[in-house]
Amino acid sequence: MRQTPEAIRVISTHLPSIRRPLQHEWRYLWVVDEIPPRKVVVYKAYTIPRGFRLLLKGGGCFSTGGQIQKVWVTAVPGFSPDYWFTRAEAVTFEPSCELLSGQTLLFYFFNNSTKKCRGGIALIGVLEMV
Amino acid sequence: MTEEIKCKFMIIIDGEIKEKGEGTAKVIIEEEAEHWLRTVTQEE
Repeated sequence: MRQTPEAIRVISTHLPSIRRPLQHEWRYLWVVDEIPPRKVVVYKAYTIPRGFRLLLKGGGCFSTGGQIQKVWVTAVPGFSPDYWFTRAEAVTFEPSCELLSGQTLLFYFFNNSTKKCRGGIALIGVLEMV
Repeated sequence: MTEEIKCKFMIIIDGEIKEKGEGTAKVIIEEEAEHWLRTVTQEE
């Protein structure tokens, strides 16, 4: 492939890591295929393991429904208490949202549409040994 | 009785899939949701 100076190929393994030795990159993806219309789906997603803390950096949510939908992730300031979006939205937590060992992430997804829809929530963060 | 629905989840740590599977989520009306969240949070 012909490359101009503006299009330099970067191989990800050559990039320096910004993580410390006891930190792990953490991602969570949650999808529900058929959320009933005008109903809320709630889910106990993840409990922070013993000896760790989770530093949430960001997240996103999506829906195939045409209406404005609502998600709520407890203990996450960016999504709480009401976070409305249309098709897809992403948020960054600055500063990071810190979740301690034993805390549980709870997902809430309200399908505001009159039809079934597919929806999901994705989160990214750093799992740190303490 | 609370309706239940299947959902899918995946946990990726350091680029590797550590856990992947199906879960069970609850389907409730909006008025009950806040109560459910508060109850579960208090249980934790």
